[in-house]
Amino acid sequence: MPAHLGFMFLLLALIFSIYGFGASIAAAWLRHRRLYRSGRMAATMTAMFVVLAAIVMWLSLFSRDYSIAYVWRNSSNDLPAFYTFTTFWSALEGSHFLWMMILSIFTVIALWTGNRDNEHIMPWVAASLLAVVSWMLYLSVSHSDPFVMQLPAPSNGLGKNPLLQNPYMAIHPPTLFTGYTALAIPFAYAIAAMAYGDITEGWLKTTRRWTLFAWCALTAGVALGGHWAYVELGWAGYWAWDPVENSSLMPWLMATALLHSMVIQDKLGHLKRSGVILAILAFFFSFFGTFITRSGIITSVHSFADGNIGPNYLIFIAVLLVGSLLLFAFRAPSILPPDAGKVWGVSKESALIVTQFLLLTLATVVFIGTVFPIVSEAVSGQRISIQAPYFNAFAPWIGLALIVAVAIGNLLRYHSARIPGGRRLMINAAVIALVPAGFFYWGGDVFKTTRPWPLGAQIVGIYLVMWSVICLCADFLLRLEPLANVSGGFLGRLRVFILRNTAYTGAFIAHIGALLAILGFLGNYRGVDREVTLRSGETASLFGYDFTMGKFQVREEGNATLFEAPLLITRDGREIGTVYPAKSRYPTKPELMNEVGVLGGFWHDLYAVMVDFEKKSGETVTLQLHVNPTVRLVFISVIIMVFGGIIAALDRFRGDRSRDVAGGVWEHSSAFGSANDAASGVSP
Amino acid sequence: MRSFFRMAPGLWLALALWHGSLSFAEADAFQNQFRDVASDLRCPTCVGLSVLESDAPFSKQIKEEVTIQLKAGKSHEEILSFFTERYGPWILRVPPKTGVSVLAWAIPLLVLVMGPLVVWLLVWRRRDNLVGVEAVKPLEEILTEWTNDITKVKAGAAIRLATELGVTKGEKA
Repeated sequence: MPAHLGFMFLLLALIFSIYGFGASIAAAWLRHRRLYRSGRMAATMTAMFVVLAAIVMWLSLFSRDYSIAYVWRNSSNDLPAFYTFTTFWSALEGSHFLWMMILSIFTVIALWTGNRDNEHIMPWVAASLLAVVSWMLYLSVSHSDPFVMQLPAPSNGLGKNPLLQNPYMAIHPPTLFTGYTALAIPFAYAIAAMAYGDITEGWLKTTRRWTLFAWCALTAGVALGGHWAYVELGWAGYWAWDPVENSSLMPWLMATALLHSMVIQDKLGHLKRSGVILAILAFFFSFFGTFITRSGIITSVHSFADGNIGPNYLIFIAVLLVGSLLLFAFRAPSILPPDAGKVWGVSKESALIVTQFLLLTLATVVFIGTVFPIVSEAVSGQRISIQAPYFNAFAPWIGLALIVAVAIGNLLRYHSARIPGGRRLMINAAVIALVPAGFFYWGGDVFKTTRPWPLGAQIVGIYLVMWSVICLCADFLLRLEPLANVSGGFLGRLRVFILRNTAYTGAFIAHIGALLAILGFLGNYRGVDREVTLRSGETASLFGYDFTMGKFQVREEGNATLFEAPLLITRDGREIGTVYPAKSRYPTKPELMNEVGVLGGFWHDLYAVMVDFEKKSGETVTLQLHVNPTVRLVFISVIIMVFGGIIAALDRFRGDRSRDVAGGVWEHSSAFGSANDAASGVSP
Repeated sequence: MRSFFRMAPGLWLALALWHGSLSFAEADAFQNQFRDVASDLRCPTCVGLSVLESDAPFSKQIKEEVTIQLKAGKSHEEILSFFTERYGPWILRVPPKTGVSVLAWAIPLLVLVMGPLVVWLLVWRRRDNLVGVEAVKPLEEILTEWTNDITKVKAGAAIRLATELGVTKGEKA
């Protein structure tokens, strides 16, 4: 019965979304305002019915209604309430459902809030969004129906995948999907801008906010996924360059490139068309990622052809891409910058283009590494693998270039090849950077790296990051100087500056975060590990730490049974802490899962995985001990990045400033110096 | 005697360190070799992991095989080609640099090389164009061009006149 109800809600949502799509198209064509409002109402009804269907799903999950196949396959009677809640998105149909729900809610929010700045293009925005929503709803009632019934209902479910019974898996998918779906709004605005034939300042204001929001969510989502892999999978890393991870990185890279292109669009009115194309690509890649993960195409081309949903996704993303690009080909020439003959030269805008090039190159590498095995197998029949070593052959170089580009790009000013006080500043920074870099070499035990290549990469990388951070900070201070006559001393100036330049401040914080993240990634070059077999009371040592095994114990936690070996960690006889690596068994699954023991620190994590234990007596335990440097730093830096993104999104002046650009105020290039840049703290 | 006792721990420590570092270095070298090979082979049953990082049964077998072959004195490349023959290039974590797979290496390299060129064309060339349009050339250059043009026109006119008069080259009218 609930299954029927839920399915009916989905059908109703589909009908409303199709009507809304048609009404929006007609409204755009006829310039009919009331028809558009009707379409917007239909979008609202769509979202409402999707949410109602979701509520039905949640109720059936909690009432353990195994007459619904999805509930039966993915949950069981023993499942705790929290994980019952998250079972909603723990399999294919459910995560499709979640995607769709978030997208339809964002559609409603975008339509009801976008009107003030973008009234002229809203019908097109609505039509684009509803096209996506209705296609997803169509899939949801045809090939990916979460409400398929099975009768008679079994008395217990098959149980949830134990890997997903982890708090990070509870928040990672919704966060990531928030990012993916929020990218639909810049996409819809891009389509609308092409249909309308120009980009306005209101467009930029709205799109910039949504992109920033999506970027924050993606950053957090990707990092949460990494953290989940780190604590749950037990191979002591957070990033394996596997296709699923890659497919979440590609939209992130596109969104990052889009943000950088928007900065130029905002300041100078240029790169309008590349903004449009990046918005399209960002959304395309978020769908592409979903397609890659959903269709089973990664494991093999053959498993892909067996399912129905895979080919459907493929058709849709092909239509999406070809349609948008055709529209772009026909309409883009009408979207022009205000001054066609701009002098670029060496300037901040050129540096921003270089940054975009680097980001897009990395995206290309990731894309090729992800799809090449599929294409190769489909075309030539030859099966090949592309895994971490391939990506690690390219990524460090691009990362290195990005570190330098961040520093120089931030120091440069618009329309100017001169860095104010540039040479002295950079040389001073190069000298000062020796101190924090030296500290990091020492504290992070960098020189214990035995191999020459990883050692060199770390020495150069760490030093450059420190240099770049110092350049950024110096630049920030430099920008405070014009505010010398603001009262309240340094803090007063800082306050005025941040209030007036919220976007710059946010970007500053996010860049610091990105640099620290690279600093954290460099730690991967110096990890050490060791496999040991211990009895109770025995000690193994690694990297100066002694791991003493306590008494093996079996205990229950939630619905799981844990077989754990407490490890007391000491260094030079001083106790540091205890970790509990374990194997766990869940009632509905035969296999044993890893529960890793992690003792986190700033310089490195101590990470213990139980590989195996003597099943009869529990006397001997085989453990894998890892020292993972600067993992903490990576996750801290992600928090900093997201924080920066949020700050940047709070900028109140963005819309008005870009209006100045459209009005041609920026054409007087003689007035351009550092004073007219983001640092113009005193003039609104 | 006393001094000997005082020295003893030091000697002992030195001896231990010397001995320890030796065997340690040997074990280290072997470990490094093993790691290099194992991290170049994919775990056949996992997504994205090398056999080094994986404890799947299949990976364990491969690791044992690698250990045996390393101890038998085989080189890195020999072991890799042994596994490639047995399981195909799929077992390697990077695509081979032959055949179609070479594209996987060539395209990113091409982008990395061509990209700056494109940026340069877009960013710098546009300035050159602008300079042409705005005619911010030195006056001399413009004058020279004019003179050249006029000379050409003159020459053309002379030839035309000559043809009309039926004068061939080398003759005087």
